[in-house]
Amino acid sequence: MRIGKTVSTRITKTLTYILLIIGSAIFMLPFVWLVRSSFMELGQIFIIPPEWIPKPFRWQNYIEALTAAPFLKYFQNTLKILLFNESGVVLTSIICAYSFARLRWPGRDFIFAILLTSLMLPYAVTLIPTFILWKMLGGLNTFFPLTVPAWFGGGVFYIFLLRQFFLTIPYELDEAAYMDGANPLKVLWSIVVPLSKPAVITVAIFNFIGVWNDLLGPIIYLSDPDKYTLAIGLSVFRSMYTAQWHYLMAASVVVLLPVILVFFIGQRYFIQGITLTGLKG
Amino acid sequence: MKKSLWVAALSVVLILGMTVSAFTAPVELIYTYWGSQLERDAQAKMCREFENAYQDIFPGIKVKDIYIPSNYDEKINTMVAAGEPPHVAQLGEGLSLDWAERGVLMDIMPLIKEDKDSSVKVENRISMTWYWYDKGKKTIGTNLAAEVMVLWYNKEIFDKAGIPYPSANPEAWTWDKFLDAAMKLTVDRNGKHPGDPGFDPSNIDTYGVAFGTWWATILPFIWSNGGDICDSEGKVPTINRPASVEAIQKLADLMLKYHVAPTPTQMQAFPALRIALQTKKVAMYIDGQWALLDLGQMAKEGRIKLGVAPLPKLKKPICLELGSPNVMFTVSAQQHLKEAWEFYKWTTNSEKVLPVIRGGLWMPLQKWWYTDPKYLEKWLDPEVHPKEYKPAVIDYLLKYGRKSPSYYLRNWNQISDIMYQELSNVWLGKVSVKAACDNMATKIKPLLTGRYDK
Amino acid sequence: MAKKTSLYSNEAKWGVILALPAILGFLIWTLGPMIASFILGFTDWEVVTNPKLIGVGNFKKILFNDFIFKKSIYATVYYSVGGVVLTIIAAFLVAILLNQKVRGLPLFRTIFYLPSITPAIASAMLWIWLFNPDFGLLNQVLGIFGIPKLQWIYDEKQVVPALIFMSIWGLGGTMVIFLAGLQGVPQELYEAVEIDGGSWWHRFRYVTIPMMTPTIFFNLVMAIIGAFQVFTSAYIMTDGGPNYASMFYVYYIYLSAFRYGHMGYACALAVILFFIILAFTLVVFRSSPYWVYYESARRR
Repeated sequence: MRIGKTVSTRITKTLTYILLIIGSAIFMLPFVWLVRSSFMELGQIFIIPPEWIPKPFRWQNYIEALTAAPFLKYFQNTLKILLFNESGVVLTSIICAYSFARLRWPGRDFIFAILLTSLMLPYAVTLIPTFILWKMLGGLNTFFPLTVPAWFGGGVFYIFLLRQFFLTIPYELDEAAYMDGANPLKVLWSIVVPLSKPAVITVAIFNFIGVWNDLLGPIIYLSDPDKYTLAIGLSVFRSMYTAQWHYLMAASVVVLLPVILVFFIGQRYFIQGITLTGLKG
Repeated sequence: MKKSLWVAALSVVLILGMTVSAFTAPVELIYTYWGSQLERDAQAKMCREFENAYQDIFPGIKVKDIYIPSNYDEKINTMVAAGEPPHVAQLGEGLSLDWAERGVLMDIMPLIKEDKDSSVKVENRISMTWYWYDKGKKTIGTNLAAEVMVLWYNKEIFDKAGIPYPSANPEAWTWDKFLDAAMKLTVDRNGKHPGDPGFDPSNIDTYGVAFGTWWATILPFIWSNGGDICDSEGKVPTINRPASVEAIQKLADLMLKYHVAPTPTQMQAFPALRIALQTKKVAMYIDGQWALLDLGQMAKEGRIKLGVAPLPKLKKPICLELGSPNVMFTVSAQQHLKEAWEFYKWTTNSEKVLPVIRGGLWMPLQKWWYTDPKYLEKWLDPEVHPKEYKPAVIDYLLKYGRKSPSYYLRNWNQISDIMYQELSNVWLGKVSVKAACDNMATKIKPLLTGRYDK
Repeated sequence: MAKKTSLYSNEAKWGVILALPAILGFLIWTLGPMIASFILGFTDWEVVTNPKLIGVGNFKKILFNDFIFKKSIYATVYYSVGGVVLTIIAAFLVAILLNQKVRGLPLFRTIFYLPSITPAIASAMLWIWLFNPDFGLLNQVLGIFGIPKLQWIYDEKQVVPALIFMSIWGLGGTMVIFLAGLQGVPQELYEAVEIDGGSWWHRFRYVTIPMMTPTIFFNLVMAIIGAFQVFTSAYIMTDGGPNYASMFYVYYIYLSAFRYGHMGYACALAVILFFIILAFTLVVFRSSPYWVYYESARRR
């Protein structure tokens, strides 16, 4: 018996919804946990089996957490770092990835491989040499170590990512543009980038999150408390002897919200980009 | 003739000017520290008060207090490696004496000798808080506060069961009495005690006692039983000798034989023991006296009837004293020695951090706090400190205090990590205490290279 | 009209210029510290001392005299192999799921992404409860199916699989990259398969997977590089235990560097790790011509 097309689509759709809903329930757990703990008293957070309704419902956690440290100032600092960093990463990673993906030059793949090795040494050992380097450059207690490197390609991770995406775009499009007298840069901006929106957005989102949550960089390089960032603010709630979990949760939720928002908005632009019609023949 | 006179006069003025400005250029001291909000606020305030108090003596002096809430080790390491350490700092105890030996930290013995300030004299501070090296001739100073391990308990649970409170006298509170109380206080969901027929160890409602399984809860009992991790030279492992093994066995029995204590796994059901004490999930628990910060707050709010006792003794009473030092970094402090020294003394003069002491987090360093009624009154907050605090904690430290190996044993960090890992299987019942101790002895042997103070 | 003869040299010029930021960046910020770390592996350096060259002393000790090293390598390789394979497969499947035309897609996508951006400290607590042998949700679920209680992170044989399981929760990042990659698969190819009478399996096998190989390649390489450097779960949750079973390599490097003060030794450990990661990565790279399909690969 041949199942009709609409019926089989409906079955697939229902199955999809079921999987999505089950999956969502599972994947939402950490976030739900975070939020429910943020409204609870310290003692109630730890009760096993866990209780899911805060009793009493402590809105005050949010106020008390956000006033325990100058979070507004931390927010401003994080924003400052972010603006400079994000623009650098997006811009330069696109340009560099394009070069590694679509332009031929001697030593290209070898150099790319060398760049990749920079990801293979853990921070614990490169921390001190890098710190001393920044000391020599006069960057200690400034935002420079956190922003300037972003303008130099933004890191191999993003270059590699974009390179892979650029390589999926048919070269015929480039050729057509070159025949019209374009130079590589024009081809990049008018052809390659528009077709790579999902990848570029991914880079933007990931970098945003990376900068937003970066704790080690600011702690190591900043010494003035009025330069501290949001991530440092969060770490105040967890110290040697005690952890004020309820405040930590509340502050974490607040710090998390912009990240969620950025992702929510960004992923809307994940749209099918490539059409091949008109290229063959 | 006139010309050379002018030149001479000018040079004198110049030299004078430079010398004067060198002495009067405003100094900025850098101080790094960690802690929760309470410590942060208290230490920041302490720095401001120092600035005010010393404006006349060191005009323009400023303290840049850098609060490092996280990744403290990495930050200090980078600052030191880059040649710009702070002047004064809190430092993890593990590496301090190593750095002292290498000259990175200052020996303050000469400064103590010259100074008339009694708050810094060796004999005026709790002796266990001093860090000695170079065969005991040099010192980097003391902790920021004295800290000890004690037994906290919930008086209400004892009242309900009709059991007398643990004695506040370290000699009278024996292991047998302790075990007896724990057995009577442990009750499963059907109301049965260990030893009763039908007692269900996997369904316990209240545990008699709980303790974390790090070295600070285990070592006092090893010592109390006459054992130790190593010999007094710090070269031969003694962790697998009968006295040590027996002590650990007694602790393991609490979990695995008598079921009066939760295993580390079961303890995850209540990650914060102080909360468990308050919610009556445990009747007693072993922790640092610093837990008073939270417990005392709960007591003040009437949410718990708090009691404190010394640790139960096996053969003799022992009070484990621990902490981490405040130090001066040679490279920085040498440049402004006078100022740095005054500041160092200020940070370790317990008077200046009274809120933290009264709040119960820290114990003071200077001995007169422990004996002089005026100071005791300043220290003890009747709403926070249980009334038996003096005999159970203060006198306990004074009479039976013994300093933790972090004050003198080389490679302590690695040794304590090995202890933790090896014993983790003991608490799971997978390996016998003797076998684990033998493993430990083998593994720590190459690390036992002696003591800093001998 | 473009001059054909100088086209290549023109392209090469552009190529180098556009790649300059990355190359310069590497030379300025990265190369120095990397070389420093390598050289320091051959020294006896305790952070506060001056590094003293000692040849291969560190390496000898690591390979022949360090019981933690052996346990650490085992734990890390175990975690990496298991983690990489499972995460990639799971992330791929979830990405496909999140690429269907259903209502509420933005919401679903965000939900699946959430665990990977929830702060590790906050989720650690959640996981400690989930893993609790007596009261945790996981054992309760297993109980429904009649499976006996597991010890999860409290047993040295189960801790690494438990942490792998936990890491799958964090597949959000990998999943998003797959999702982005799926957008680049030309619709016409799917339509062509349908016209030829193919089913969803044919679409998957002959269009989706081949066109996704560049993305799979990326995620595979990155997952390998990342998995070998796993750190946070040991640091926050297990302290490397029980009995060293989760003493991941980078956590051991961290302890050696900052807790024990043996910076030179830590650098030596890092050098070894570097070559291990490099070896695995090279294998994947070398194999790529056999399975990765680029629409526009322009080699020499």
